[in-house]
Amino acid sequence: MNDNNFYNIPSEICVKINKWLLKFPHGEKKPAIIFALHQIQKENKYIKTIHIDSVARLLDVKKIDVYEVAAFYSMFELEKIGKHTISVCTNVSCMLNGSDEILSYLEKKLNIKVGKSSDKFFLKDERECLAACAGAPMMQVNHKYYENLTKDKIDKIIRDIEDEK
Amino acid sequence: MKNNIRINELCYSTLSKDNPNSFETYVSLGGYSTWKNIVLSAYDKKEIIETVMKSGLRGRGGAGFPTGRKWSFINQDSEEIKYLVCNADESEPGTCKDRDILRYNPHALIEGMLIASYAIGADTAYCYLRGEFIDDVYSSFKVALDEAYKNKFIGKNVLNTSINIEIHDLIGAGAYIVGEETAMLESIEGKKGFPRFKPPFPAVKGLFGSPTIINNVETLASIPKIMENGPEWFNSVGTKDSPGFKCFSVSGHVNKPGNFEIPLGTPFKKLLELAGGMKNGKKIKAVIPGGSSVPVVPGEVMLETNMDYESISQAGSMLGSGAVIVMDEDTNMVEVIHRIARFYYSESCGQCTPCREGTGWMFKIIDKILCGNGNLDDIKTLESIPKMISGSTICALGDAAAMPVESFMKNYKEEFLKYIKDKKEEDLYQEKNNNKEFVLHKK
Amino acid sequence: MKIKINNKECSFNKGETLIQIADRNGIHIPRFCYHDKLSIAANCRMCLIEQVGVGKPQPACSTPALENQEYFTKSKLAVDSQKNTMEFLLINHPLDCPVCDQGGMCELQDQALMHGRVKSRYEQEKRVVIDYKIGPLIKTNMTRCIHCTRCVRFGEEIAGIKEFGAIGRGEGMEIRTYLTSAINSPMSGNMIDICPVGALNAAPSHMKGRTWELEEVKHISPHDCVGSNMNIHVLDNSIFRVVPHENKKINEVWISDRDRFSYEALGHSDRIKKPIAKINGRHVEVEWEQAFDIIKDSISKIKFNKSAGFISANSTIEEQYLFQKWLRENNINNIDHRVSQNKFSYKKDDIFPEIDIPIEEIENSNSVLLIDSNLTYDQPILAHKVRKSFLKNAKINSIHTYSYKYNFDTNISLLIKPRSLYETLIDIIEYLTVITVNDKTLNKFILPDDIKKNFKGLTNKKIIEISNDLLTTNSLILLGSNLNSHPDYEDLKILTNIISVLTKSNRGFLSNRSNEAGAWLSGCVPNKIEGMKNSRNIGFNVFDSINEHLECYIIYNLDFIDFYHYSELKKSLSNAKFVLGISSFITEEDKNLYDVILPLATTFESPGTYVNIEGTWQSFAQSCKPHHMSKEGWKILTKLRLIHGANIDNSLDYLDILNEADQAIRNYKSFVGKEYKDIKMKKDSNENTLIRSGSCNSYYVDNIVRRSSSLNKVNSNKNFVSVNKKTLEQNNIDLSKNKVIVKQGDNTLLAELVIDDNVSDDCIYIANSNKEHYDLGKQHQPIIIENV
Ligand SMILES: Cc1cc2nc3c(=O)[nH]c(=O)nc-3n(C[C@H](O)[C@H](O)[C@H](O)COP(=O)(O)O)c2cc1C
Ligand code: SF4
Ligand code: FES
Repeated sequence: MNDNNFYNIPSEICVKINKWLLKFPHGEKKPAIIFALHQIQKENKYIKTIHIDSVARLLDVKKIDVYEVAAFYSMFELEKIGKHTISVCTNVSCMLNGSDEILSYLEKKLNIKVGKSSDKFFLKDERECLAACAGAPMMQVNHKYYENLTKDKIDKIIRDIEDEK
Repeated sequence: MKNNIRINELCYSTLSKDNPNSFETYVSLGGYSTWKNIVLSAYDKKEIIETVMKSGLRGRGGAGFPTGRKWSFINQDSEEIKYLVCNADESEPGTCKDRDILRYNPHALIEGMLIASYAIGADTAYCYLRGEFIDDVYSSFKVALDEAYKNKFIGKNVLNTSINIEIHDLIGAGAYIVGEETAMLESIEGKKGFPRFKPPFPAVKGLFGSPTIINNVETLASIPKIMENGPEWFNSVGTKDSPGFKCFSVSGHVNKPGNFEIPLGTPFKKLLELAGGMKNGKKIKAVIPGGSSVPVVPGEVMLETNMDYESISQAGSMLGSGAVIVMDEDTNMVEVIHRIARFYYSESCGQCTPCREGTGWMFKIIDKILCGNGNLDDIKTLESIPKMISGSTICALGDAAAMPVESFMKNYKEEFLKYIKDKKEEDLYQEKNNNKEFVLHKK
Repeated sequence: MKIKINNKECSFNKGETLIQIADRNGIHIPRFCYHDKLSIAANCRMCLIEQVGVGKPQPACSTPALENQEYFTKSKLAVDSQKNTMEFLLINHPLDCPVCDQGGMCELQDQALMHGRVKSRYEQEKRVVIDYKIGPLIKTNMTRCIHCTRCVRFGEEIAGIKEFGAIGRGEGMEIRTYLTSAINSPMSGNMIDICPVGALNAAPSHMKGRTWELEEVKHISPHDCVGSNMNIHVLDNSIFRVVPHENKKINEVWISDRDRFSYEALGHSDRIKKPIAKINGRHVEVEWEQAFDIIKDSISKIKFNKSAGFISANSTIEEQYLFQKWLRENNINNIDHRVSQNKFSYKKDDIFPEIDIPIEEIENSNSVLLIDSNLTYDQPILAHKVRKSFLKNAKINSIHTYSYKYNFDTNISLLIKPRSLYETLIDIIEYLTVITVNDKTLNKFILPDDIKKNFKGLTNKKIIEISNDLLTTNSLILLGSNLNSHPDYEDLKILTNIISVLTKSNRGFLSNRSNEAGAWLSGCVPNKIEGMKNSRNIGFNVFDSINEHLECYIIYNLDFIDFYHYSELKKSLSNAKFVLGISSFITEEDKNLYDVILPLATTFESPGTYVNIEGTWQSFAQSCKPHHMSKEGWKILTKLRLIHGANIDNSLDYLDILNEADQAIRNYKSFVGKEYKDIKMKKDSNENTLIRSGSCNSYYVDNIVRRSSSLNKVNSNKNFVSVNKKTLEQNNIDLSKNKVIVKQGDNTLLAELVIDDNVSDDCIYIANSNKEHYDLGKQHQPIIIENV
């Protein structure tokens, strides 16, 4: 086996996964797939096939089972994306409050189309309502909520990220 | 009109305090006293279920099924392993009430889960939060859970008795369908969220093949107060078929969108008032009263309707999850349904034929109409597809996708027709929608 | 309990679904996802019917019938629902029936005609799915997939290896394998049958013909001892494809990939077109008459009774019967079919492929012990039965010399060196004699002293557990089919027999030949004549025949590499005065050693009968005429008997021969119940050397499969040796290199190295899948490994 085709899950993540498994009846391994993928995605930004292989190996499940899960849930990115993920909710409540303008503003500002990614930003094509309708229009940046958006607010959020380095 | 409504007395009762989500706040308001009482006096399980039944509490996740009845389907005394699952996948468009419970009153949910587990004889409970909460309320919920563990309300030998109950936090990864109860069970088992066909029902064969009860966050968070103050306290407000308090998430064209926990049966007018009235003084055009999957109701009808299960049903819609989306007179209804149809198209799990194929077909026709390429046949087809989907799918997502389209076509057909008759004039919309070119949900 | 469907009263058992009841009563309900051998998915929604009093249509496949309810399958609600589903299914389905393999036998096409709407209202773009290659056997056209998930469930539930999954969601969901990995199950071809549309097609026959042009002939699997029933679809006198023929008792509705695709060999370039004779040192094609003249002439010049005849255990019982009859009529008793067997210790060995219970009962076993059996690949249908027992909670244990991949989980899996198999079985016997000491029913059973001598005190816990599992009721021991090249094979058969007596377990002696039982029964062994009667004159077995350097050899339906003593055979043949071959195929190299070769019809081109492991005789008709000038075996052999003056009626036909063989054989005495008191156990002497171990690759086992091009593509990586890490380190092999040299005697082979801890210690594992492996040397013989 070729070593650069191999991903060793860092031991702290293995420990977390093993702890996670304690929540389930003895012998059930699949319930940790989603959690493991979250952990690996956090580490690597997106999920490559070697990651899927390694999860399958660690949990002793079929690769196709892991692949099915990775491809089903919208939070798992299987293609290379930028460092920060921005998801603007464009569902009904947000749309009624101008989320489309917010999205176009971000597209222009970051110079990426929705669904696409630059090195720094991934502008996710978010179809699902993010459960903050009372704060519409809203978005998530790396899964943190930002509500009642205005252009000024967006400028500041982006500036903060860029300053952060 | 004077606002003398009782507000935020149940699930949002900590809201008025300084540190609403802290353990101390919850305890200072009498929190966990019910649970302590149940544990220390070894309460009769049947009695709990009876109390819940008497209160008339109905499931707040959308279907409105009486909670006590649901619990009674389980044989509490059998030796079998049983599970309780809390549905915190809040993803019905327009709904944001559960997130606020998780944010501001997590201990009420925990206590509710404990009582429910005890009542159905489960010693393991799972709280499944939607994936998008992972860096938001998921972390704070875990903190709350730890506190409850630390104080021996959960775990092995609760309060040094022989009772063992574990509550585990779980996290999803982004899929609306996982809110459907059997899809959630699949997801917990580590698979993709394909709903199971019923029968068998989860109460017979659920998580890992064992009897399982699934309840919404709000449903479970309501339990401690109902137990503490008695069922009469709860059903002294509301109507006969819709007793008690309910959280409504009001969003859309209103001045003060937000979550309001009010007695069921409150006139919609009052709720609108609580939400600050219509934005910019515009006239109300339409309301979706229970999340995007219920039929839309014209504004004038809604203004005469009370917020309870029966009245809304009479108005031709459903109370659903209590997500009230308000639209003003300038709203383009074709655009709204376009957005809703797109959502269901993206979120259909793909398992069964009518939903997998039907949601895409509806969206593509609406898209075509919106882009000015529609014809009268499209309108006819669009009217018939929802009927073809309804009732023939494995889970209710099929109906959820069909109902809005059907109701928009019924109530606002002339707006669709306008797009067809007046193509030129709508060039504007075409341009507007061009840059939103639709890509299949594929990775 | 009763219900009414379409006003017809039907009775049912609690828990039965509506579709089961309707099927039993001949009421048609359309369906796609439902398949009676698979779990219920209820995802296609094609089977919606009306339950009186319920507003919503009910899926018949997943709805349990309710006492005294009324159902309608053709009411307006039902028909409308079915039409709706059909319309949905067709919106994204390409209407390319004219170029689809499934056309004419497509469930979607049929149901669209019966249940569809006249005109499609869908005008948008249809979904297009990119196809990935999933191996040489199945050609995909996933744009046609209707997401019924039958193939996914087949993998999970029947094959036991989940290889397909539903990837993505919604309209974009695709049925595919992980990345672009190939399908590995040895039963994968069945997915072609269960796919209701043309998404999964048989690759070899892809786009080569249409269903309605085909003729169907029933046949019996020519490749293992199971006797799976299959249908051969013939187009213009050539085989177009092979599909299962349902036989509830044997293969249910499945066949292995080997059975499905081996027919491709028929067109192989090794096929002999015309009789060939060596004239003046050169091989030339001759006419049949001329060939027979040469045979007659040559035989008259030699001592014909100093001959030996070897026949394949894949030949039909008619051929085997005639073969030995012809030779015995000429006083030749040196007859054998056990060409791949290594050692012959007992002149009286008569344990042949048999199983104590019917194949359909295997699934009811409570425990199964596999002794060095690569069951999943060698006898896939039996593996399916064992898998079914596993799913019913049977404990499956395995003692093996290589950790084979099974499609079920094993409870105890004991990896031992090939040389230790014998001792391990004796260990089991030792434990059992202690445990069963008070069992009165065993009073009469006397354990041979030779076995007792080998008792050495028991310590291994695994052995104890395996033995205890065998003591449960309904236990089964299966002795692997590749053991016949093991030096202790005959002892292992006897030890297995003793274990079964002590534990009252059922036994199965497996074979990877389709008619090995037939070969024994028809007298193709030196010590028995037809019907397992003892022969008055005992001839030489294969080994002795080869080493006695006889004057003449007759080889029927075998390649030289089928022989364990392959190199010795070649030497003897080159010294013999006359060598006659009767075969469908020949390699250039083998050809040189023959004096005359007669072209034989393959199993598909001839009628015949096979006897499977449970003793069932199954006859089949000719699927197509013999290709080129080849002739059916029974005709050739009858002609040869005539040459030697046998008194045979001229009008004799195939059925007469079947009748004659049947009468001669039917009442045979089986080995059941023998104790083998006088057995002498001896041990192999190669104690401290590396040993070559390994079985024959299941796609290389006989002269047909090894010439089937698609099956051969499945073993893409042919030339490799596997060794475990410990052994490699002990032999100072450089682990970073991927090639090694192995040597047996004077022969060397450069091969790819696979580090594989499934191999037992001190062994070099070579799964014979290539002629080079046979040229290197024999299994179970010393071998040397070196760095390149
Ligand atoms: C497509 C679909 C999505 C759903 N999403 C949610 C959800 O996000 N949250 C929720 O609590 N219930 C949701 N439900 C309802 C659940 O299936 C289930 O009825 C509920 O969790 C039961 O809890 P309750 O009795 O307390 O309401 C959904 C149902 C469907 C069909
Ligand atoms: S490939 Fe065939 S069997 Fe598999 S899901 Fe598609 S239609 Fe069904
Ligand atoms: S056959 Fe019943 S849903 Fe497919």
